[in-house]
Parts: sequence; structure tokens; C-alpha cells
Amino acid sequence: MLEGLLREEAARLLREKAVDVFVGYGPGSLPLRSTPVFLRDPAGADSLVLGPTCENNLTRYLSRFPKERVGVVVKACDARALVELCRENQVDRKRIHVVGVPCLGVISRQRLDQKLGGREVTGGSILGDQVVCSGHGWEANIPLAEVVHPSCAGCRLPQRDLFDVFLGEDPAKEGSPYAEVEAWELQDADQRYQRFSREMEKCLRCYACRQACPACYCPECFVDRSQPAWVGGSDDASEAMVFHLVRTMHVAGRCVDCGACVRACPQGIDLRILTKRVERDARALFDFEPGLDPGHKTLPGSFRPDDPDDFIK
Amino acid sequence: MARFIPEAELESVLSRLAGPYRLYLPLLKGDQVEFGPWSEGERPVLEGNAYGAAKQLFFPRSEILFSFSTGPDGRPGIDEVGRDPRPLAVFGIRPCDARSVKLLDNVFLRQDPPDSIYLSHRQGSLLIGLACDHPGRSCFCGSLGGSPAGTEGLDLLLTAVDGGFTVDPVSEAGREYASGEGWPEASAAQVAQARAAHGAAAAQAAGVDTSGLAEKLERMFDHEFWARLHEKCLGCAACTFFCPTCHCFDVVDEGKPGSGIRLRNWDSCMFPLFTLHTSGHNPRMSGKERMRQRVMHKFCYYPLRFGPPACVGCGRCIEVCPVNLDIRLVLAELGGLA
Repeated sequence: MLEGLLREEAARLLREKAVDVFVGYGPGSLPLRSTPVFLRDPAGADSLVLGPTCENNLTRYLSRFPKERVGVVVKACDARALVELCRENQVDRKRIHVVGVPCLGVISRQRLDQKLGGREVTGGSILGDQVVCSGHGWEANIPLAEVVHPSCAGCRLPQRDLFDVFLGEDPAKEGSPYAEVEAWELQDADQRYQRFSREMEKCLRCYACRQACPACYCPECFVDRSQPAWVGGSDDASEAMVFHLVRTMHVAGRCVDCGACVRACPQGIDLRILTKRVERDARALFDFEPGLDPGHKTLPGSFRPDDPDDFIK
Repeated sequence: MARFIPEAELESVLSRLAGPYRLYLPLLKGDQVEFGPWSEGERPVLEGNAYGAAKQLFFPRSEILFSFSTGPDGRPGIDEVGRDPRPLAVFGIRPCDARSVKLLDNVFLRQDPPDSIYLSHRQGSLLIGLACDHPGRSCFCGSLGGSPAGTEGLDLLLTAVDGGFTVDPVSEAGREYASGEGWPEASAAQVAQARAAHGAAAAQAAGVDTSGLAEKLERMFDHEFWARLHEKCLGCAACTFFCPTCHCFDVVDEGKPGSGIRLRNWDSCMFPLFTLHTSGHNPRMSGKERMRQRVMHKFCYYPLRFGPPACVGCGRCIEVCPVNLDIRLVLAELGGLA
């Protein structure tokens, strides 16, 4: 039903030439996947899909259309990213037609694989709140709630004035957004460093995280500088640490925990052990939460005389 | 003549291999199956394909080519890197990966002089393959001249049958190794079961017609197709890093005053930095040019130079792409263009 509404809306926008291009999701080529599509013809709107397979953050693509009017499908997490992109003058809000869609959470392929013990899924569909999947000689029904991406816990929708239209109602999300950070902090420094090192050793530096991240829009990333080279190219984990730590600090107070980086990572690295912690620090220290209020200032741009400064010795 | 290894003998077969060879095989690491060095009692994972391609054994992600330093007399010196002199043996490599090594040979060895570092990994190596009984959901080796029981690049081909594996020696080195092992001859029933498995798997791994594609692509450099193709691509290097035939690299020096190392690291045509000139000019200025290069290199430039396309249909790029950009669909669309 929601897909029907979305298809109508996209077709109307393209037919009435309210937008030049409509960015949404189409059916993927693998089970339980969808893929970004860029429509310029209303006829293509019939292929649009919605649901827990829509794991990509489409706001990442908006800067690629600097001159065109763009219609874009945004879930709550994508909408938070869009708030920041507008705030940081990366996207001209007037050129964007924002179509908000409700989301039950997106599938974490990593969680699904773990749930299935590595068995290959050759067929899959979403039936209500169940993920129905099958492989060579097996079938399984898994509650969606058990395989949604960790970033979907406690997901929040920005203020409604961000959207041109919102199709349906966004369901309330359960779970504490900081449960993992809190569990992480119960470990001592050695345990945390070991876990951090294990994650970093997996990194191939394919930069899928950076490329999928809506906040990583620098025309030239510091790791791509060769004069001087800030980061070496070897497979030593310390190089990956430098990249991920600097990236984390660069998105501090800007990361909206959409989880796109983690879902993009082919190595299953849990980057949220860094980003989520920094997000919580921004909240605890500066009472700042990015992505919710289109009228707010950026964190670095909102200095107050009574900001905590205990860390300045 | 096909031979037979009983399942119970596998451990001792591996143990004997590990003496004269550096033995690598697919092992479970965390949630993933990856090629790793064998150690006593370690059981290879013989279902599915390794997550990372076997190319990393011959062409590692990062490798020290040599080290250099200033001696006490102030003169520069170069030190070769100490390497395990034993040749490499890869057990349980799938036919697609074995074929990819053959394709890498064209690049690194069919030139004068050959690439000495690659040659040092490749020389005397023994590739013991395992035929696929269940090609994966992204497999399409049959579309590119390969097969789930293909033998190109292999020395021995194993096929899982009841109670063990049939062994087909498929190269001179393979025949020599097999005769030294003294494995018994496979029974007619075992051979028949292996052949049936090969046939059943082959039917599952076809899909896309790539005939005449290289010549067609040669005329398509300016086609409007490229402007649409790259639209969803994020510009990461997951596809190229997981590709068993992608072989572009960067050579860099790292060091401090007085000493350093020269490294060869994987690079990717999907990165803007890959083609950035010293002047600041970049001939491949956008994702369109970069994506075109990736497709062209695999399906036009490489086959025009060496014959087969530089793709073995392992499907890894399809599995790891964050936006599900599927090369099979790209090839199908290219095939349909006039």
C-alpha cells in the first residue's frame, strides 16, 4: 500500500516536472536486497520498492545533482542526515522534494548471516514483521526485530517541517540507542583496545564506509593526500586506526547514526563502537543531538560560554 | 586416471603437503571463510567459496618489495626481504579462483622481465582445487568460459563423493604429486558420481552471454550507457579488492631518515587518486570514467590483449557491493545494446 503511494507520488512529480530526477529504491538482484534507482521517466515509478531491504542512505547522492531538482525517498535515519546536509550548506533544500517514508528498521545482512549460521540465502521476502528466507533445502522465518540493524534501535524522526510529504506514519522504535555503548564501557581499557584492534585489523581500506556516509562529503579526504601522506598504505592495523579515528572525530556531532557505513563495510567492521560513543559524548557534554531540528546550529558552530571546558588544562 | 582420498585420510594428506609447501586453505575466521596457513588439526571449510579471493596469496594487499638504508659509511644499501623459500600450496581453491591466478599470470609473468615478486610466490606452487557442488547465488563462471569443475590453473582437482574425494591430476606437477602420494585408484562408481556432480553444478553456473563483447565495447567508449551505469556507484573499492583478477597496485616508500621500505599495495581504479596527475589534472574526473575503466579493463582491454575476459564469474563483487550493483546485469544490458 505504501509502495503504491510512493509510486504515485514519484510518477506525479516526474510527470508534472516538479523534479528532474527521482531517487528511490528498486528491487535488488540478490535475495532481501534493494538497490538505488534514479528515475527520469514517470513510467519507471512502478519499479519502486520500500521496506527493510532499503539499507542505503540515498541522501549520499544528492550532491551529485547540483543543478537538478531532485525527489528523494528518506527514512527517518536518512532524514536526520538530510537535516545536517542542509545545515552544512551541502544541499539546497529548495531543490529537493523530500518524500518521507515510515520504516520498521532495515535488515542487517551481518545479523541475518549470523542468525542463519552462514547458510546462503537464495530466496527471501518480507511478510509483515517476518523475514522469510530459504536456501538449499531449508526455509526459515525470522522475526524482523531480531535482524534489524543495530542503528535502528531508538531511531528518531526529525521534525516534520523537513518533509514535503510523509507517506503514512513512522512507527515508534524500541530499544535504547546507547545500550551497546554502555556495554562497551563496562569493559576495561585493555579489553576495549583488543576489540578495537580486532575490528581495525579487518579493514581493507576500501573506503566503502566513507563513500556510503552522508557526512563524508569532503572533496578530498585526508587519506587521499599524498603531499604529505597523513596515512600509510600498508596493511598495518595502525594505519586503519588513524583513518577510522580521524573520520570518527570528523563526523563528531554530525554523525546521525544512520548506520550506512557499517552496512556498506564488506568486512563487517563495527564502526559504531567509535561513532556512537562520540555521538553520546556530544549529547552528554553539549546537550547536542544532530539530525533532529532543521533550525539548529552545527555543534562546532554553536559555542556557548558555559560549554564544558574541563578537558582544557 | 582418477584417484581417491578417503575422508579420514584428509588430515594426513594436508600434513604431508605442509612439509615441503607453505600450505594455505580455506579456514573459518570469525564469521568468514578466508584462506589461511594450515596448522595441525585445523579443518578446512570445504563448503562455499572463500570470502576473500585466493589472489591475495600471490599478490598480497600490501607487500614489502625491499628495504633500504644508509650504511655506516654513508652509502645507500638495499636489502632483499627474507621470504619462506618453500613454494605455495593452496588446498581447496575453487576453479574460479584457480582460473583467476592463470589470468594474473598473464599480467605479471607474460612480460619481459616478469614480475619477480609475483614469480617468487607462483614458482613451483601447487593448486589443489575443489569442484563446486552448489554454485553460489552470485556465481556465473559458466558465462565466462569457466565451469564449477574447471581445471584451468589447477594441478589437481578434487571432487567430493561419498566417503571422500576423487582426485583428477590435471597438470604435470599434479600428476607428479599424485604419483608420489600413492592414492588408490577411484572406483568406477566414484568417478561416475564425480562426473554427475560436475554436470549438475555446470547447469547452475551459467547465465550471461559475453560473446563478442570485447569488440563491441571497443566501439562504446563514448556511449551514453556509461553516464547511467555509474549513478548508483558509491566509488568505494570493495568490488576491486574482492575481485580475484583485479591487480592494480601502488608502489610507495615509507620510512624515516636513514632507512625505509618500498611497498606494493593494492590500489583501485575506483579511487580518484588512482589517476591523479602531479599537475592536479585527473583524466578520469568522475565516477563515470572510473566505472567505464573497470568494465573496459575487464571485458575489453584485457581480452583484446590476452584472449579471455578478466572476470571469472566468482560473484564476489556482487556480494560485497554496498549498493547491489550487479555486474551480471551490467553485462546483460551491454549485450542488449545495439
